[in-house]
Amino acid sequence: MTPQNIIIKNGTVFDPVNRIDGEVMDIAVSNGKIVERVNESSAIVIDASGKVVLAGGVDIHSHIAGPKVNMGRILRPEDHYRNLKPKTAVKRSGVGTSCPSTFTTGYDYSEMGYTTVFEPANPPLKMLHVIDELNDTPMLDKACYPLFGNNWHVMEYLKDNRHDELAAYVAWMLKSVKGYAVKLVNPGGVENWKWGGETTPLDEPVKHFDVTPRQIIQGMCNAVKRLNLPHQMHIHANMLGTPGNYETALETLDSVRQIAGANDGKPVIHLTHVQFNIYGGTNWMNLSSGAEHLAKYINNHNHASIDIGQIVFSDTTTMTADGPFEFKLQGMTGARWINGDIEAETGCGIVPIHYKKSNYVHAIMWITGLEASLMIDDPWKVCMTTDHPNGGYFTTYPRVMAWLMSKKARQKLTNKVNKRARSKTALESLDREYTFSEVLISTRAGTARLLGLKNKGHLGVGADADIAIHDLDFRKIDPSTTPRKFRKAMQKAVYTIKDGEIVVKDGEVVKSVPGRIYWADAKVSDDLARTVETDLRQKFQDYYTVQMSNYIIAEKHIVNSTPVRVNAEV
Amino acid sequence: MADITLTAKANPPFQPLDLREISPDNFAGKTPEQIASLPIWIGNHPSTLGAVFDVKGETSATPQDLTITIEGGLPNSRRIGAKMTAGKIIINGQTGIYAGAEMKNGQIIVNGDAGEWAGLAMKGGSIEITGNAGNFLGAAYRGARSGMKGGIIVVKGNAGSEAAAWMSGGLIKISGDAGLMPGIHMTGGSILIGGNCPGRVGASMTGGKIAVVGKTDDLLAGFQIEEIKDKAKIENDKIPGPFYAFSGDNAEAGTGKLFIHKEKNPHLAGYEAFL
Repeated sequence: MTPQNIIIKNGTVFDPVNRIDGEVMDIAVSNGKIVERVNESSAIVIDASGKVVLAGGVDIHSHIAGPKVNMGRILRPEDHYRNLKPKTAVKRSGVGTSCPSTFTTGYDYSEMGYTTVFEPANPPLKMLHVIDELNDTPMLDKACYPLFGNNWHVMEYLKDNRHDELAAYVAWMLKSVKGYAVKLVNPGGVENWKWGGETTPLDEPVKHFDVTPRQIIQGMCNAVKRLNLPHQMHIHANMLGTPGNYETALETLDSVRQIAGANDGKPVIHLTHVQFNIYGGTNWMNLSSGAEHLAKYINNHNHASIDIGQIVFSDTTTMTADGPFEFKLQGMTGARWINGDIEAETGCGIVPIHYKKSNYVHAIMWITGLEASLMIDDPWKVCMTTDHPNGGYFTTYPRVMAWLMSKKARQKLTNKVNKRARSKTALESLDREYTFSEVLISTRAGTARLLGLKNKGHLGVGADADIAIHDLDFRKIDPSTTPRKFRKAMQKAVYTIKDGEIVVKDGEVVKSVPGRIYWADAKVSDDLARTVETDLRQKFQDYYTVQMSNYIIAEKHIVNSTPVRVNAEV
Repeated sequence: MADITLTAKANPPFQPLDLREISPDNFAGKTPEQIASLPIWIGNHPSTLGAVFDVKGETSATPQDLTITIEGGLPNSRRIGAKMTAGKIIINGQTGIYAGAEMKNGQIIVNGDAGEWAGLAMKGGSIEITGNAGNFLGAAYRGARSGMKGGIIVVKGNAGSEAAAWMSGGLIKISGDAGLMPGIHMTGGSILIGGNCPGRVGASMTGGKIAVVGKTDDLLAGFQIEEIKDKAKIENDKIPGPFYAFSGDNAEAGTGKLFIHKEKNPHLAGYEAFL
């Protein structure tokens, strides 16, 4: 069915990319794109008077699919018990909050006005599972970031100083397993831990490979830059969840400063869920927020962007490829644990966690995330996430938005958190409140820009018609003084339009659409590609339990496969 | 007071019946016709209460004054009285799993056997089962770390394994025998087992009280003997003893109390050496 023409009349439009800040205007949609005007007589007319019209949300980092999410589902039957969604005429049934079933994930995001969600950590070996789950996640445009941080081939190429081949290998990998960007998780540290070592700071060599995490970070960052990939290197830094780790985070950012070039041009590194990475203190008893150090660095440098990974006090599931961190976490909490070891590539761990207001550490975590969001001046560098489900469910985004926009909302919760944590924080002295445009930047415009999605995150002519309309009238609702009303309005979209089709009406899915899967196809020179393929044939023989031909995922497996073609410099 | 009677029709469906709508909160202020049209699930198909029951009687405006009587056993029923906050449900016959799940107040009387997870994570009110109860009586849901928080469950017959798992408050009285691991992971509340228990009583408990009046085959190594008491106090009842009083489970640095009847358990006499 061809999408119909739609005209959205009299809505209050917010579009930070095109510098539209609360202007009452009409938006016309035709053939899945935003256009100048359409013939009104043949178009569906949506009256959006008294409502805000926004670009659909773009989530840069949310664990929604793949083997670790599925292991989370297996580990947490009580999570399915909480959120029972019976089937409707258009929706399939589903359950779960922190590890919801794929269909529920798609519907819940869409009902919240989100249209694009990127899944940020996937073992390349298990990518077929990821793709299968993404195929089954409706309503959204998706992509995934394969893991490279502890990959044996990466470390071997780096050890031999074969940087061209490394770049070509990354290109081969993204093309073979249909990944979009490069993700590093605790580079070197997971591999070291798998051999019985400790997770390492940046300059300790990885066992058996004789490369340091710093070399991996720099090498991969360089490779990503030379491949011209749409998204910069996406990194979960070393020493995550350790008191005093802000120094490692800053070192990580600083290690690739040179690669960005003299003028600090396009960002080359995206430090993800920084909240877990910027603690001060020396142990868990005197843990403190190191947000000011990070903020100072980010405010003074343009080669890095971050997302927050804000925690929300709730019962959720932590899941990460950082196996050693989860091992430590289960030791500390006594909660149950699943560990995964992906041969030659990465690790994985899953542990349920209940963030409590009364807990000193959890309160500091909550404070750290908000401080980082508020202390960094430029919203284009900060993406709002909860690192779903590690910090909280994605359905709590409106709550986080309300905290950013309202000092009152923050204060209300600050009054309830652990008193000792409260006495050690600067949060109460921070008067900044995000404007609505700033929230939109950190939830769609900025994320889309960082992901290299030119047609998303804004409402200019030619953009994808991914639109969210929320019942938010700023004449009646002031987010600063009535955060609860604001939160309610953002929780359910009145309309969500995906690729020019109305998919959500009055907060309920009315049409199920499959959405696209993006992947990066970087063209490297033929000679280099051949060399790497010969190398890999041998390495698959040596290291893998699967054949190389079985490793590659055919494009026919992907629903709405959308390759993003780029020309590499190698 | 108002009564409403649901009589199970002959040849009820064999699929699982999701009857979470049967609670005084949902019935209050509705006519029998409206009640008969309340939605239920038969297997994976939506249906109505009227398809399974004949509905007779009258309802009151508020759930407090309402008594629902269910005639006929439906072992495949689920969630009768789930989340109820007031009123009374009498089930004359067998009932299935999750009866009274997460109930907050009110009363459920089962004149027959109840299935697994009766009183799952209940917060208040009372459940009386004249027959036997299944496994996980008053327990937490699979994987959850909070079980029964308050209220009373009385079982006249036997109960299955893992009764009161993750219990943190309230009282469970089992007149007959209990299965393995009653009170596993419990942090508070009380359990009285009138009959025997095959063993592993109070595994991983960190608080609360369990009294076993009958015989238990073994005792976990995490418990240490404190004293011999003439009586065990469970809520307001003084149970005549004598009892070995243990504390534990030391594996979890717990401070739970365990009372095991002295005379019925002569094989535990060796513990007296540690007094």
